[in-house]
Amino acid sequence: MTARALRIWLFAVAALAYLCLPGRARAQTPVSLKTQVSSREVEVSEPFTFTLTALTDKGSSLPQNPSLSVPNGISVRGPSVAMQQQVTLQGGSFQQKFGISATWTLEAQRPGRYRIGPASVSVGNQRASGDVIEIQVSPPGTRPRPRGSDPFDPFGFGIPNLPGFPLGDDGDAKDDLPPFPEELRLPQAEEPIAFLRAVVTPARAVVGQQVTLKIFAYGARGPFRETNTSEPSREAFLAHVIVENSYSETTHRVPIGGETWHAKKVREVALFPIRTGKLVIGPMRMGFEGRGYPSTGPHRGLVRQSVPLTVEVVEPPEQGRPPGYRVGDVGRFALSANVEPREISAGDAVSVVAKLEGTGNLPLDLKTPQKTGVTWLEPTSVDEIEPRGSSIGGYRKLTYVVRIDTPGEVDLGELSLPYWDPERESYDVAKVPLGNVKVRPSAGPAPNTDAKDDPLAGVLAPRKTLGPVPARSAFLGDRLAYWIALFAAPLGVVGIGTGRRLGQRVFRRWNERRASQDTLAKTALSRAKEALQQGAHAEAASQSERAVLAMLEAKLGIRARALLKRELSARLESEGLDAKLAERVGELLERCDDARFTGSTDAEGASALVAEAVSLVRALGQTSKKP
Amino acid sequence: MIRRSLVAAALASSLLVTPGRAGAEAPETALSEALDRLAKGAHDDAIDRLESLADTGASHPDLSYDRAVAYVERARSPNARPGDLGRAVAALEETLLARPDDAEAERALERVRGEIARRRARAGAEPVVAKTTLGRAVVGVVTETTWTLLAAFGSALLTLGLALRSLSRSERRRLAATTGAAIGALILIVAGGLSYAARSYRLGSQPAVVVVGDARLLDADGKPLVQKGGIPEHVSMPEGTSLFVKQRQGTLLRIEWGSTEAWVQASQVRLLTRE
Repeated sequence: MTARALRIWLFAVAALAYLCLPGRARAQTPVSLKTQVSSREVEVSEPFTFTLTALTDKGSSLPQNPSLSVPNGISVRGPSVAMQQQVTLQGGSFQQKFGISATWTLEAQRPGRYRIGPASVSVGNQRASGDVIEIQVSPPGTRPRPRGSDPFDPFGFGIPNLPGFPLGDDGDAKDDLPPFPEELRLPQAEEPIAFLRAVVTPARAVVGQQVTLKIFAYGARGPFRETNTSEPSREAFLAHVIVENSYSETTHRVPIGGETWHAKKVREVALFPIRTGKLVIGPMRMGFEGRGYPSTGPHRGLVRQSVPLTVEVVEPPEQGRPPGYRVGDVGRFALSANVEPREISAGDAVSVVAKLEGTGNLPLDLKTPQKTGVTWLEPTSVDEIEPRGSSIGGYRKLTYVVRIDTPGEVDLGELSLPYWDPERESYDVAKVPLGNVKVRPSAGPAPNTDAKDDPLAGVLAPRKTLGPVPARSAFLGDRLAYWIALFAAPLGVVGIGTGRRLGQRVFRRWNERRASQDTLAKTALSRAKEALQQGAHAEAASQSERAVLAMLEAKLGIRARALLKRELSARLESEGLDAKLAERVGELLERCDDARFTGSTDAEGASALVAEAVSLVRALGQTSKKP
Repeated sequence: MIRRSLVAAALASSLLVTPGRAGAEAPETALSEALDRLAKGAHDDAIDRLESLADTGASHPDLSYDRAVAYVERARSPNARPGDLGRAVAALEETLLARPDDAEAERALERVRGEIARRRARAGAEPVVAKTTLGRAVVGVVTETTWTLLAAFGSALLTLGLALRSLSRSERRRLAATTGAAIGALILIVAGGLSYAARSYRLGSQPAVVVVGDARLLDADGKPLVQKGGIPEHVSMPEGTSLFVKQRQGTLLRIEWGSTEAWVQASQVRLLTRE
């Protein structure tokens, strides 16, 4: 085989080997995994934790979807997932990694040796697995217990309350109870035998302000252990655990409602709300395990649950808010900084190490001063944040690399952090001046600031004064009067026109009718007079009657012919005619009837009849109908 | 010139008495400080000051314009942040809402939108065009005030025509009055209806602008929309897109973008102040 053929063969083998490698090995995302267990030797039913920490470089995909494979005989709860950040110094430069830590709580159900894991997470399109850890599980009660903090129960098995027994809880012992924390005091028990009590303070906070959740467990049947726990949900909060479990907490004897209860703090968590609203902290469930506590199932203990709590979260006031304040920066902080070196060449960089100390929600970065020719790169951070009593505090060191391109004495300005101080209920600004850096002109070429490729260069020039604004009048369409006027005007014209025509028509008809009755009456009177002259007395009486009847219809709208004579007077009066006049009308009509039907009227009588008719027609002409 | 200064002074004093601003510095002082910092390259500081001013209720087209300047300057600097150009678009849109005839702001808006499109094209993204709904297109032909005035003119013409028709005895005049009334009625119905629609659009939605690289469209449960057979037309909105917000539900906003109705995360858009 020639050397060339050998090279080709080696290349082919290498290429084949590369192709045969699983995709995962070829394009592996750098992810660092760390697997831990809380104890490698446990007893049956003794809870222990299994934690996988997965970190990737800044900018890579974050690990997610953690899962854990466990053998038969091991029960698993969780995981609870927390965000992680790690800063390391490698090769003279800082490296930042981000990721998660997933913690499962496990319990073995029978003795033996178990291989737990591996736990795995997905990173991008791949899955990365951690280590397998072996656990030795002993039968219950075979391992020496950690010394309990209850002075009356050094072995942690629990002492039942036996009447008369000196170490039990009887009435005589109540007066001699050792002192206990006030936060455990209660006027009465919330549930029989055992209960969990959750307290959050304060119940009203601003975004980023620490609220402390404390959960206490109370048992009436002597000492107990925590088992079968489910943690309270708290999605709307960043959490920092102060008391992780109750194993190392002291059990106190507390008098409640005339009885002595065993009580201890089982959780304390500093919570930082991340949004506004009524945020809910879910209930915590816990099993009370010990003699005297009836278990509700295998290894479940006596299960109790705390009540869910609500925290009202608002933003800090806008009044007096300093520029640059970011919602969530809450606490009390102090800033210090160190700049090195103080003399550089243009284009070189200085290091600014800022130390932010205090209590509260320490922000991840600071407001950096900006200046033309000065470029601040993303900081690296190292922190030590831990509980200080019931508060979370510590420090965060942020290291910035600042490149300066402008020669001369450059004032770096100041680093600042505006924050809300919940204790003083006011804003404050932590700041530190950074001083000057002497920048020598660089020997190299000046940085390229050519803006010809920048389409936005010079597009907008700032406006230094506030110019006039067109007066904005209210929208016409928002006024009800506009819409009414819009349609009422034409409708009004239509209405007026129609009304006018209708009125005219009615008036005309009324006039016509009135005119016809008047004319009729006058004609009848003329004819009556003519008949009188001709000696036709009956005709004169008939025409007189017609004239009066026509006038009654014209003025009162009464058709008197249709009425009986005896009804007439009453009807005329009811229509508003004077009683005397009505009587005269009645008499005249009767006389007319007599004259017409008997023909016995003489000239004098007929003349009087016509004269009375003329008088009545005139009188009726001046009357009007009763409204 | 004196008149202009007086108007500016009156405006500044009106801003000073805006409720909720007690104790805050005068807008012109804050503006001057912000521009001073902008000139020194302190973009973040300038933006913080201009945003604080807006948060305290100070509203003026030139303040919005200067905010746009600050965002554009930061977008051009090494400290550029995603969404800077979208925020500049929002600020310029706000300027134009308050002062529709601001030609400089209009030109700047075109340039910024052009730059967003250029950057998207450089990143390989397709240009996105959202067709507006027929209703908004018709209503948007002229301003709401024009529609209301047109409707008022139609009403007046109809009223006059009816009155003349009613009073006039001459056949020719009656014919002319009837024709005028018919035209008035037509204008009243069309312009009145469009005026009402414009008012409903104005009161029922608020203009907004996308201020992130791509705002994912969601359903009412907050799950991303999935395109099947070309429906919906789009599944995300690019930076600088103008849209209308119709409803808020928790952290989600129901939006109308062209003919697309969907939900987006409230943090991905900036609502524009009208006044």
